[in-house]
Amino acid sequence: MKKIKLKKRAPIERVYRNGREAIVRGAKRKIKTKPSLPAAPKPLAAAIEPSCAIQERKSASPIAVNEYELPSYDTTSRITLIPKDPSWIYAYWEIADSSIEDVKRQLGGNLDGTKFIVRMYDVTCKDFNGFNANHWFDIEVGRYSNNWYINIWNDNASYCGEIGMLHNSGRFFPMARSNFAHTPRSSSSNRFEEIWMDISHEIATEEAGRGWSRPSPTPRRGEAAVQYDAAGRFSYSSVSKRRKIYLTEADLRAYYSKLSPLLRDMMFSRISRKKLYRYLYSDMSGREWKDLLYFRRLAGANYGRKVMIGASEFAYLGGSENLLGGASEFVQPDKKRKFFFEIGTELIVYGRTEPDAEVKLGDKKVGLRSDGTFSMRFALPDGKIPLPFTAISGDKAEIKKISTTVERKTE
Amino acid sequence: MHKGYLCLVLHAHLPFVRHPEEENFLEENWLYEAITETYIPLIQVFEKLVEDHVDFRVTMSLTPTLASMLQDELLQNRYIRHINKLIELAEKEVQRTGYDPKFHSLALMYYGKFAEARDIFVDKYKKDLVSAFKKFQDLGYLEILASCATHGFLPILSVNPSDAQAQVKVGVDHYKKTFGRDPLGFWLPECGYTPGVDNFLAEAGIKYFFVDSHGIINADPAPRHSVYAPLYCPSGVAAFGRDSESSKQVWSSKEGYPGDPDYREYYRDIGHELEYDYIKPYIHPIGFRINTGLKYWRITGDTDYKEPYVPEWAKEKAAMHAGNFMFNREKQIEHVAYHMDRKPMIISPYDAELFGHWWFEGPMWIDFLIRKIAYDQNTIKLATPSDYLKEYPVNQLSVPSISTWGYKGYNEVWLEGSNDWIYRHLHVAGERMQELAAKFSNCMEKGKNDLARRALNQAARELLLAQASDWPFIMKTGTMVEYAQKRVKLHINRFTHIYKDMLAGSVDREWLEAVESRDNIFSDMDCAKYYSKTYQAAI
Repeated sequence: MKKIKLKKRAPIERVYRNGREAIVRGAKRKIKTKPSLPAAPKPLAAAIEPSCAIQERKSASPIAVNEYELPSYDTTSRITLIPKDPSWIYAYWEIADSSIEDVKRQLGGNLDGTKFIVRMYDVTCKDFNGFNANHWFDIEVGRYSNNWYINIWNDNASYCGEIGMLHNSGRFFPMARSNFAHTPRSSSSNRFEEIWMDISHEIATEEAGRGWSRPSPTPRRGEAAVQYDAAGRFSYSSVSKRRKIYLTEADLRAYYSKLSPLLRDMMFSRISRKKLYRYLYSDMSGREWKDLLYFRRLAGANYGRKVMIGASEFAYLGGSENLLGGASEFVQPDKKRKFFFEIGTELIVYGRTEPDAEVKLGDKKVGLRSDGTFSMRFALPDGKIPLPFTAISGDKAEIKKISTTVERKTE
Repeated sequence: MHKGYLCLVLHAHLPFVRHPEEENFLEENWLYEAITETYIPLIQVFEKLVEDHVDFRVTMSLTPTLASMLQDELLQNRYIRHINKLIELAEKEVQRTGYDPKFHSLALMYYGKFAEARDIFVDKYKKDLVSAFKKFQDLGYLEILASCATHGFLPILSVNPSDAQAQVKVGVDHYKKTFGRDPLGFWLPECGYTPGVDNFLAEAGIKYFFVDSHGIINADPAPRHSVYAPLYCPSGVAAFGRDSESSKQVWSSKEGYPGDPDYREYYRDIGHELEYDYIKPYIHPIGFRINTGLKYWRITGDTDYKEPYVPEWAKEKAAMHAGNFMFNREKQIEHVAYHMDRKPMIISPYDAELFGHWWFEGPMWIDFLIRKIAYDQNTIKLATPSDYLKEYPVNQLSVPSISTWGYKGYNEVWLEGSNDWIYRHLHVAGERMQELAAKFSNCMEKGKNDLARRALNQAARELLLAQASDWPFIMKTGTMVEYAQKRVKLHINRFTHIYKDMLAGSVDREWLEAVESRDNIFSDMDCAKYYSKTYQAAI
């Protein structure tokens, strides 16, 4: 039903405004260029003549460096999707007045019966061209809202969104199309085939110039982890001969293009780098299966609750979320506590003598100010505190002693 | 013969906070506290281990923002002022507590620690603590990871691939400059991974990075060895998964070690407790009370009633907890190794600032743990991921799942009602940076138009500074929110200022110089070139 609607839509023309893809309704049918993933590359660079004619300007005085005003970007319509977790995507957008004018023109100058919507396309495993979404749905938003948290009903999905106006007649006037957002998996994969990869060549060639070799007090580990057959292919001991398939980069690319168009594109860039990797493909059976099941059970026991959204236990597993951690924890927290009452007592002892005299408390010298006065401050715990002071005159001829005792008693 | 490996990862990071315009800036204390309480104690632990010929391997990050601050002269001198003030306060405390035996020994302990910290900072390492960590790396004990330029959160920044790429490449180039070698490993800020990020790492020559447990467990195809062995991404970079069991033992505020009644209580600080006039010279000059670092009480229990801290008891507990941690890892390795065709590796990553700052006894615990592993058992061995890859260069190829180590495991901490507004600005600024880099590509070489080149580089620095994951994180946690908001606004504003100037064809030199002197991170790097076409993202 929905897909039929899609087919009825008039063709779309892509224009690029200020580096961002915007979409306008085209009057004539055009063949669209195929969009690449995740976001259409910005064609800016080609369009702009590099220049370097920058002049120096006299500054306004005083110089204002600490300004906090944020810019607004409402001259271009745009929309961006960001995955928040397996079931939520955050969308933010701008609607330019000019985009509304465009729609108005197309509707013969009358915007009655239109509303603003975000149209969300599920493009999981699709090379999206605007018409081949798995399905789509609309969310009505107001003219002046500019962001939305959108609930998605399955995890591990790719979405693309459009902001635009929907007319009562069912016609949709998109103003901008978003990037592609991919939501995380919320559970483990059901794909069990294994591909193994060997990077020992790379380590060997790079070892000299990098940190691989360690000036270690312990001897280098002597275990030969990788063996090679006559053809120079590595073998991986726990995979039986029967099930070994050596893969090429092209095989791998084909494999990953099944997983997702995004990954296929990633494989392209890998291949261009021509690294010395080797690959081996195997299925599992027997012992390997048993081990795998063991780890899945283990994972279930240890992480089952963790990967579920909203599990309270996970609250303190995440490092940054933890009470103990993250840079901002250096901030002094306002510790909430109940009604409390504490008292502390301190003792201040002060006195004066001739400025050139020497004062001692017990056998410790007390520092005098230039006018001969002094003061000392002590924490005063419960109990008796003796304070035996001695003053010796500057010419050592006279000695005076004052001993006093202070007692604190808390009941 | 050992049966498996333990990889201890300490992630040391602080956001770039440097305010030359003010004599005393509260948030700069984050750095000073971390130097006294975490970085110097860790250096002391490593020093002693090397001196005693204890073999160990620890993996550590020292993010570009932190390394830049540690190497910044203004902040170094301000730290000396800070530690001198602390020593003065500790001296006064030694006298003040003269009649109070419970606290006198503690005052002496702090006095000793602060004086040692000053010696190490000023005399031993000549104000440059980065050189201390570099030394341990060069000796083969530490493996220091590279990280993003300003701790940018890649799962959201990679909406503009050029932004994610610049974060990675600026970070890697800063590492090469700082540590004089190519990095092998990379710390993804907040363990934030999304497929494609590994491509940028591969391009920068990185061999491995870390993800949270479910990044590996939910990988596609399913991993054979769970988190106990790495996976290769299609890009050829290895992903190592965090082990949640060992993490919880240390992280958890409830069941974890740091909550033990004998350990020092973080929340009772003399800055908040002593008589106002006495403590006034050591709190914020405006007069509001802050933590000083002198804390006299132990956790005691889940109560407001606290008892005095007894260092000997705490030390005893730290040794016990190190033994317990080791025992649990031995059992875990023995258990798992039976099901594997290779030795398992347990990855235990922590924020470095947990040790010492929050968990006062943390550095001591690390010391005990390393010594016990070296002498008291034969089941586990400390190793770094590169040691592991060298021993096992054949690993399974799979695509790790999108994941972070934040609350609930995905992007929620950095993307929710309090902080989602920033991404609109970050993404547009990222596109505009690309636009500037394209339009003025021929200004970027030295000698062409110096003013324009400087303006472009500063624009890139402002963009990078705005992208720090610390700002949305602080907004979410709800303390010092205003500062974080101001920082994002300030850098976006400064960026936009340059952007508009450049498009208008003229740059205000005086203004630019004022901004350069404040946001001076990466001042010797041409940051703008990371956004130019020749650095175009591959995906």
